[in-house]
Amino acid sequence: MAGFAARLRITPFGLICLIGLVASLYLSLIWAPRERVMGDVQRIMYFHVASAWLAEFAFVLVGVSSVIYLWLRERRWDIVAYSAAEVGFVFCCFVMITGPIWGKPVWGTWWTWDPRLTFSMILWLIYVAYLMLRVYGDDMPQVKTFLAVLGILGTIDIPFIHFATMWWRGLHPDSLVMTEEGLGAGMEVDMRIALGVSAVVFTLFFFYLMQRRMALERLRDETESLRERLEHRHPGSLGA
Amino acid sequence: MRSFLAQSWQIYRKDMVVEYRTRERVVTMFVFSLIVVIIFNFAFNAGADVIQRVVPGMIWVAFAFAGMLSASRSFSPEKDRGTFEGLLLAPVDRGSIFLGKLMGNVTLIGLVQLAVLPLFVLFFNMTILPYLSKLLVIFFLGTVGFSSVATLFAAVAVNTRMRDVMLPVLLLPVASPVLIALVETTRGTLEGGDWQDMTNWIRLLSVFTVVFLVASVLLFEYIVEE
Amino acid sequence: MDPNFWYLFAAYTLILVGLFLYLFTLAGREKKLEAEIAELKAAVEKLESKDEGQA
Repeated sequence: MAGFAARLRITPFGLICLIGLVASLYLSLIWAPRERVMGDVQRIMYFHVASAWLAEFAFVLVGVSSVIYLWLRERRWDIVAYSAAEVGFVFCCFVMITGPIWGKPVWGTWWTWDPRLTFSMILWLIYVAYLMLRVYGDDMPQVKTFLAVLGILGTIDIPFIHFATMWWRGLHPDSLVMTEEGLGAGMEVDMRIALGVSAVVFTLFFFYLMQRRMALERLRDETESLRERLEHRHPGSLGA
Repeated sequence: MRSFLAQSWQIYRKDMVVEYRTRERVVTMFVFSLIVVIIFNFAFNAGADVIQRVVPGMIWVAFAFAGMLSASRSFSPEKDRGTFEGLLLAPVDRGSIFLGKLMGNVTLIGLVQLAVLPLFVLFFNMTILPYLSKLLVIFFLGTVGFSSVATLFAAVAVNTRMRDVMLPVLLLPVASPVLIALVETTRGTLEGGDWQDMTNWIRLLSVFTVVFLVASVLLFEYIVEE
Repeated sequence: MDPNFWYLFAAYTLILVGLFLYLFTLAGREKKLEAEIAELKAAVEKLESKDEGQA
């Protein structure tokens, strides 16, 4: 275990997150009561909803730090936006993976164009666009500005996507295969506690991953400046 | 404010004069939409009742792609010929450059819509005459909203290595709410629905259009700065 | 056993595997960059000391 943690370079904060993860696994899989209609498979909800919360929160974070970046023009806010986008994308992938896995046994189909799944799908695509622009525009000097613009527009877009997907399905009740996801009124107190704990743990994990990702980006900047220094002093010393 | 609009008008006029001379964009957009209509007809080799249900979607797929073509072509020739730098050097507000380009795109998409809608009526046996005024409002709102985002992202995409691929990747997810709203309102109207039946959608379309128009005008300045 | 057990199992496994894979790539990229930085720093120092020697 210790060797494993060392290989992953887990910091003390990371260790706390891992312990929290184990606790929330226990609460979600064993401690929380079995849902009457859906059975044990409903327990996917605890991690699914927690991931969905972070996927959305992360994009808002991208938007906010993008605004600050355009305003102050400090690289660190671009780093915050980039890291939030990448880690948020990971959580958004979790939502996209666990959604269908939950859907299959409950609704009898892997995918339905249910409002929440559709919402996550569009959000996922915006994340993909952001990361693609980051990768393919890496050699452009203005790419950070472009990304900030995309981050801001994407964040403004979130409420619109939310209402559009909701009403889009609302107009076609016949194609609505799905019922309430078991959130809210139907949920017992213990379930809410388990969900709350996993949401908190996932949020901690999110910030831990963010911290790691930001450190990585700063390392990249350092190599970049070292390279420049070398190139400046001795052009060609780095080879072609 | 007046000079801002006057500047936009100048940019718009310049683009339209260029377009009038070549008719390059409008013709490609028209042919493109026409091909989309025909290909869709093959794709849904189906009875009239099915076609009636998918036609609003077809209409907006055709116009969304035509709109992307227009937006992308409103920057790429200028970029390639180096005239865009000249435009940026002009003593005008950057926002007015954006507004001028946007008006140009809306005009061209509007022209293509005018030309292609009758073809939809012809090919798919649709009735639109009684709903014309409502469709006009919906199309105008939606086209302005969609084009605002399209024009802004086209200005971004034109700077990237893979500009033709980047525009749809950036634009379509962000524009999806307006596309959903457009398809739904068009369908509602063609089925004889009233304004009351689609207040939510109209509200969404209007708010989206206003918010993204303002945001794009403000953000464009950052995109074109050196 | 619940017939849906494997769905539950798959969902949780995929999330955990995903989390650790991501952590793993983060650590990997970090190590690579640190090695690169060490290498570059050594090169810079070597060249700079040589410059001083020439001066």
